[in-house]
Amino acid sequence: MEMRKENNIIGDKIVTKKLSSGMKCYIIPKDGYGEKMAVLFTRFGSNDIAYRRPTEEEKHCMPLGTAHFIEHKLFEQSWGDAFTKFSKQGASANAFTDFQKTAYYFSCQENFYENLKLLLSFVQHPHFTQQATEREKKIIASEITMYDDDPGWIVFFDLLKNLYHNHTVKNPIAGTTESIQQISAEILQKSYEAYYTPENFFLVCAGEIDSERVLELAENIMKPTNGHRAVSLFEKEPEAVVKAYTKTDMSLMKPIFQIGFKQKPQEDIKGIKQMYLLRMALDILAGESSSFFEKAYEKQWIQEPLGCEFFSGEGYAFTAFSAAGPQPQKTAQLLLEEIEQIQKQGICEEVFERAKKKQIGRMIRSFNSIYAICMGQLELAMKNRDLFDGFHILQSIKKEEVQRVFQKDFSENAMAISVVK
Amino acid sequence: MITMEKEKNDQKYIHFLEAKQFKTNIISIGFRVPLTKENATKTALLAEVLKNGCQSYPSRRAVSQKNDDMFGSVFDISIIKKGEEQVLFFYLEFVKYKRELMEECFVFLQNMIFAPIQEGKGFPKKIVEREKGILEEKIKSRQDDKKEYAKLRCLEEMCKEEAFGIFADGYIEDLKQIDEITLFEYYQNMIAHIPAEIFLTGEKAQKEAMLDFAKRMPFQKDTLFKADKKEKRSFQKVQEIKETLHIAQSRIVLGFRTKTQPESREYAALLVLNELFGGSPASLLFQQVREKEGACYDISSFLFRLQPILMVKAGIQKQDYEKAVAIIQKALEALQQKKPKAEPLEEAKENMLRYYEAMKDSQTALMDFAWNERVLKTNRTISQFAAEIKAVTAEAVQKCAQGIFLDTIYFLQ
Repeated sequence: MEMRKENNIIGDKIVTKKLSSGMKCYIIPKDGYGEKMAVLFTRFGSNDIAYRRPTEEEKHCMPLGTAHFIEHKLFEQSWGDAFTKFSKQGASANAFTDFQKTAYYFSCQENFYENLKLLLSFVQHPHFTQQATEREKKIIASEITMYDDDPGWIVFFDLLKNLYHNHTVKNPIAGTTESIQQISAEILQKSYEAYYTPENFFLVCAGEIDSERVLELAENIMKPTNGHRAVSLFEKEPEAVVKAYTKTDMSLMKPIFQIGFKQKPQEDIKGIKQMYLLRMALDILAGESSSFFEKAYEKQWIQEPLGCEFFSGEGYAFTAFSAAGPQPQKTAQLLLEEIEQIQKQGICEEVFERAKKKQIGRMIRSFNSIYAICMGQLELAMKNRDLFDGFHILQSIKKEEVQRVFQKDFSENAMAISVVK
Repeated sequence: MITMEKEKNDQKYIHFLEAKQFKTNIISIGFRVPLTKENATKTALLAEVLKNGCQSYPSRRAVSQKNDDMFGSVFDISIIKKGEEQVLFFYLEFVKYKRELMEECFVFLQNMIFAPIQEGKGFPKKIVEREKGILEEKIKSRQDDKKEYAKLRCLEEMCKEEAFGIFADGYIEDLKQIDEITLFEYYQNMIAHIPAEIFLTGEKAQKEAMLDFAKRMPFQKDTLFKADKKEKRSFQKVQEIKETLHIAQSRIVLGFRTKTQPESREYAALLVLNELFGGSPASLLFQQVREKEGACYDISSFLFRLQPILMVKAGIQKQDYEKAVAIIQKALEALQQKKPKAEPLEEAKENMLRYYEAMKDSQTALMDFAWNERVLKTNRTISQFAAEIKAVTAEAVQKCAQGIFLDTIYFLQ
């Protein structure tokens, strides 16, 4: 069923529809913009390394980095390179893999529908050859080496290794230089067939485009498959962290660190309220307007507000604070004290209203950018929600709900720190 | 529809960018300080000290809370290096959600600029000392981002005797002499004597009110602020600089000089040349060095909009140094010896046109374009500039390539 929604405060509209193939589409038409963008993603990320088909007993395993490897190789088509073709059609294309998804996207000024056809069609036509797979290993290995030089990347995955015993979220997205050696064209093909099915696909488009035409085109190109969707398997994860502290030496002038809290995975995996609650809670706790930041800044432990992000997916949820500064442990201690303070005294009305106003304003502002709209919608599409749902949920949030986040989601024994010096 | 208008009011230029599609308004004000070794550190330190508030919002936290209250307006004070100028830049962006917000924002910004926190005859000593420490660390940690550091170091070595070679973040050795009184005096001198550029974005219906607020801001009326200009280094031979740091993948940066001046009409051809050389995945460098030779993960070339310099940067294996330099030079020679073929030329032009067209979708990009045009004294619109790109010929690209020569090689291993 097709659905149209308008939002008077934001001043835009969203069209959503589930196609007969099972793919779900979100279209956000924007007047006055030259850029047009489309993102297609599948629910196949670096976390997915073991699966079972609903009708079979057998468990299939993949080497680490398989989803990312496919992302690299899918552009290579039997007729040539899709990447180059996008470029010839006036579009710049790209792709990324994260924990839960692989996304392919392009943006262009002209030829939007031509490019959309190309996007929808190339993801349905893999052409994996052993020779090309071998060649790609070298390029991906070099990409992995490059990440090894990125302290921000290292500190994040060190944190994950501290937080998780078993869950695959602890693994590097691109895999390791060893794991990718095990990948073959056959593995790519099998994994592709398991996860690149229309009911796993989502399409998000934004720009000055005709939503009807997009839907018609997608309906015609996206072919249904047999519907044997793979179900990812995850090992059981204990509640406790692995290690409370680790340190890696990279000869940095200014150490960087992350403080993580391992949290209970959400029961309602589709719920998006938790995301907005956490966003507000984190801003209240550690944002630039917080007493935590003022104290830490005056002591010169940190110079910029902590980066705060909440991650959640099947079988995991955690919050990561990131910063640069000389005193990771003291900073973490101060953070715990502030949490305790909020647990005891609650949040005052003024602070809550301020944080809410900020979130609302920032959300409206994100509608300035076609890219931000697409990426924002992408996150929500995973949970079958659109950006306006997000806006309404944000508006409806009550102080008590944010307060509750502090009562359960931040305990000292679920905390871990990683430092890169 | 986007229009840009300019109005001179005393020593301040007010630019109004009219566009309907955006959800926010922007007020930005830049002081154009000539880039000198003497001033660079003071100006850089100012950006940090001023963030600590004004008389109405006397701490960083109070400033931040005020912005949250104004529906999450985005406020920043930063240093932007624009050619041979170091711009002290105030930026405020707020949503078009409540009408009263605009006036509130103008008043806030005016307070931040003209009524900074003060103690006696200077800024509060405690804050200045703390910010000095923070800036010192920031300068030291420059080398933590290896890619950016290699680029900065190449530029520094290449433009040793030019203003453009000066770090706009300042220098540690110059921090010591600055105290809360001298810094305050420097700032007073600056807001009194340096011409300001004001960029506003909004809808037609907001224009009059926004201009009105801007005109009322109490800027002074002269341009007495003086700084010495540096001469350019005369080219003798290619310099090679090698440094060693903790790093897994080596970084190489090649700095080239070009005869094409940024304000000239030929600059459009240089843009296209750069695109063909190393500006895109279809470019010569990317295809040759990365795809064919597999000699690196990333390689690209880029230009500085306000300076006749082209650079190539790449991540390579240590032992591939000679090979990489040779391939990069060979790629440039290929462009010097032969006119580009029609198809890649058209593609490169299309890419550049798309890049400039895309700027129309971003208020900050539009402001940045207008700022550059103002500095170059060319004052074109994006559409006018796009027409120059469209007119670029294969001959012009080749001629541009012939005016490029290697100046400095920087290698970080």
